[in-house]
Amino acid sequence: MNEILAIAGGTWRRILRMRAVYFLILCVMVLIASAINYDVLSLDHHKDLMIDFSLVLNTLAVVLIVISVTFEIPVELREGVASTLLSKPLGRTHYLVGKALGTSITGLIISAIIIAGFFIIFNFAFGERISMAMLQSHVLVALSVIPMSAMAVFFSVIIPEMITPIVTAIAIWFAFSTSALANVKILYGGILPALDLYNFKSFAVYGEKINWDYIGLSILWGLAFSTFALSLASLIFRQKDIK
Amino acid sequence: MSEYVISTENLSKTYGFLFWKKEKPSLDKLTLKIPKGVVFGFLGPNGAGKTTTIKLFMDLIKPSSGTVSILGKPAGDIEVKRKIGFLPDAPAFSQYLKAYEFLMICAKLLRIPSSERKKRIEEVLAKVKMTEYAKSKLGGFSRGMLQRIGIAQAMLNKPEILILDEPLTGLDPHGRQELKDIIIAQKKAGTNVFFSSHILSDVETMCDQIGILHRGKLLCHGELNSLLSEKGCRVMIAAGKEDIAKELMPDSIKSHKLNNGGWELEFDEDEKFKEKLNLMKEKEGNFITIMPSTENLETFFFRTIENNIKTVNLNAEGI
Amino acid sequence: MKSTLIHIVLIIAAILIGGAIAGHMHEEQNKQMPYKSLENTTPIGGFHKFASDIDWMLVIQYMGGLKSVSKENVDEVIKRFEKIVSYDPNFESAYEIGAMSFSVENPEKAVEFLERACNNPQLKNNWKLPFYAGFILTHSGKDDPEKVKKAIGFYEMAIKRSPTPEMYVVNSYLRARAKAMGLNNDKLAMLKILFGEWKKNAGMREIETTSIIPDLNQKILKAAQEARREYPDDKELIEFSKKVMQEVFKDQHICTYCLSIYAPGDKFCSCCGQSVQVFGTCQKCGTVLKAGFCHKCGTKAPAVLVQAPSVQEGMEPPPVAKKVAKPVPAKKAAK
Repeated sequence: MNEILAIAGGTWRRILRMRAVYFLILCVMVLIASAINYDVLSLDHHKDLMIDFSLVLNTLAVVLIVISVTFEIPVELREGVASTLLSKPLGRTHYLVGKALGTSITGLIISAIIIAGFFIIFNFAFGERISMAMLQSHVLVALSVIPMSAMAVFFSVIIPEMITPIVTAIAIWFAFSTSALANVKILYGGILPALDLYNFKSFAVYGEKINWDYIGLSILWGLAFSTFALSLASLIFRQKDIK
Repeated sequence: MSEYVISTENLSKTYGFLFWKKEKPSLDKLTLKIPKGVVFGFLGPNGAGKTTTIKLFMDLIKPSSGTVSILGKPAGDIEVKRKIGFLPDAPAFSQYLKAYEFLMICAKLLRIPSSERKKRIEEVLAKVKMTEYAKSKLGGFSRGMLQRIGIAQAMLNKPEILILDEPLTGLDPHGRQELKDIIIAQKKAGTNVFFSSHILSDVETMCDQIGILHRGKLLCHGELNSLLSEKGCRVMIAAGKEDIAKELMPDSIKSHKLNNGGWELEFDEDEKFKEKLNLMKEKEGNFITIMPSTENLETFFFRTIENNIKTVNLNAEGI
Repeated sequence: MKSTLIHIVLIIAAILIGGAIAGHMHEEQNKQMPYKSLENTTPIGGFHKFASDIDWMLVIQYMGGLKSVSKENVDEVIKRFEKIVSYDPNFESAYEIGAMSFSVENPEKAVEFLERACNNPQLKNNWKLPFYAGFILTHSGKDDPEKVKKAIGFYEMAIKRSPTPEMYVVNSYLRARAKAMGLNNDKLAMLKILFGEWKKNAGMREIETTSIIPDLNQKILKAAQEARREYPDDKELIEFSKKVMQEVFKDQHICTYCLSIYAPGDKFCSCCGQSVQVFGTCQKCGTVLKAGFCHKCGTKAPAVLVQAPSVQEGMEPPPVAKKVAKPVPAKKAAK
């Protein structure tokens, strides 16, 4: 476990030391706050717009954090950083798990910052406290980082460096639409990622409260899918020659 | 417990997969046994397969065939890796990390107890003279500084065996001397050292054993002294005896005039010529002095390589 | 080898567990968001709700640039609103404003649009949507009994959805039903409908009543009054209204001429001046009773107060009572 945490620590240090991350958070806050000005343009739907904006931007921020790992692993492999780390008593599986864990934790932290910022802005704009549905929708967006990180690590291992970020982004994009295959039991949620299970964006506006059991299940599913993706990636990675 | 720290048996590696597999192996049936307590120098020209061999030791790449064991266990064994210190060729580390942070990560990976981590890191940084750069980011380091950090992380766990890939490359003369001192100090402390290098003079001064690799094949390996044993002789001719020098010069491999007017000629090992020389010695007496000639490593290295090239060419021509 | 086997077992276990959890979560999600099945399945990364907001703002801009919705642009208008609700089936404003924008040029489409909204379980508390649908049907299909029948259904839905239905919604419903009856006299039709509703629930307690029309008795009374006022010579109407008064208001005191309610002790109707049956007075001294005993003479009040006489068939409405001047008391002889 120490080894996994050591690798994860390296990853979140990398992300949290990027100035671009803080600039991203600032831009997200500004965009969310700008929704206040859309009352005329949206015929007084600016409140719903702000909620939707916050969820979309939170999702995009999480996706960007996840995509950053698709740059990190291939670069480490190419430059030889990975060979230094893997020469230590560190299994290749642990290396991949550490990368996924580091990305997940960083994604959760950044998402939490965005959520807190949104709630402050919302309270300031409308004088209302946030509803449980809004909070839970945001929590689900944050939790979606778990399976997304596993997907990113998986693609980093099997696909050439040049196209990994693009393929990962496309895979995440389409993973929100796999509910069309919900009837195919093993495929949906087993092999194919089902990120739509985390999509309660409309519920934030119209709903009251999601069962907390559901949120617990979403964590479990995220872990199950991550186990699948990382195990498969590890099987392939173990046979790979490290530069 | 094996008596050999590193042992390979017909170890081969051919890069590529299926249709993309290369024709020639990068490493061809390497059989090598390195005993404990030696400093082993692994030599070879560029592309010989030295780095491939080292990566096979470290389980960074998988062999196509053959076996390799380190300290009696298969390569890649996690417990064995705890006892190895490894410095890769052209070390690269996470640029965003500070030197101290990177070493802390390595310490965690090596499962050094948390109470000892800080002390060990400070020790190794002091050894490589990088203490003042502990809080600086690795991204701003020069090649030489990175090499030092690389050596530091290799020594962090007080390894039983140090495997260094081209450790002297990129270092200034001062740095190279410091590293040589470290290697010698490690040897005295009982650490086995295996390293590859191009700088033959350094290998000659530090190593107990060497191996020469060329085009994936191990041409020779063993004790340095036995490999560089008497090969031919040197003949000193007194001044004023140019006729003797002229007579012997055609058979010599090297000749030069001495400051005192005399001549020094070097000859290859040749039984027939040896007889001729002995006869000349008996004839000329003190005007000729015959001494055994010890080949230097560089000569030995080039000769070995050239012989291998010739052999390969002859084989290719079917002779 | 052992490690590879462990990996394979983990993969298989993860697939099975993940598939099972995902299936269960999918069902739970559909329960929490039943409108999800109505959503557009276009893969846009799950950003449907946001896309609907953007499209909404775009359609506002577009509509702002139009002088009116006409034949040339109605299809485009419909397409834009359809797109919004395909991304967000719960977008109430889009349904309301959208339907009203193109209801003139394409009322059938507007009704279909609103009907879809009415079938959305998330919008089951929105009464405006069915009301608008009924309104459009009523106005676009005045002579089409099918449309009127459908409009009635929508109005009913609107009334049922609202805890306190608006007057105009109820009136629209009643008018539609009256129209559906096909009578020449719309007031008579209205009265018949109201009476029919009353009859369905007659004798039931308030909690048991199934009528969706609030304040039914008041509406009956008002309808009868309006009918009498507008059609004073319609015999059928007069007869029917009498029958209604008799049955509905048998326990109440109503002027038989103008159908206004009069108070205890009144001898004449304060609206039309007709003499009315007095009730609620002391039998001995004629004082208006306040409770069980007369407060002037102490006489006990009868158990059942005097009731208004039943209107007999063929009886002419009583003539308007002339005002009888009170006799002026003789001037007291000056002392």
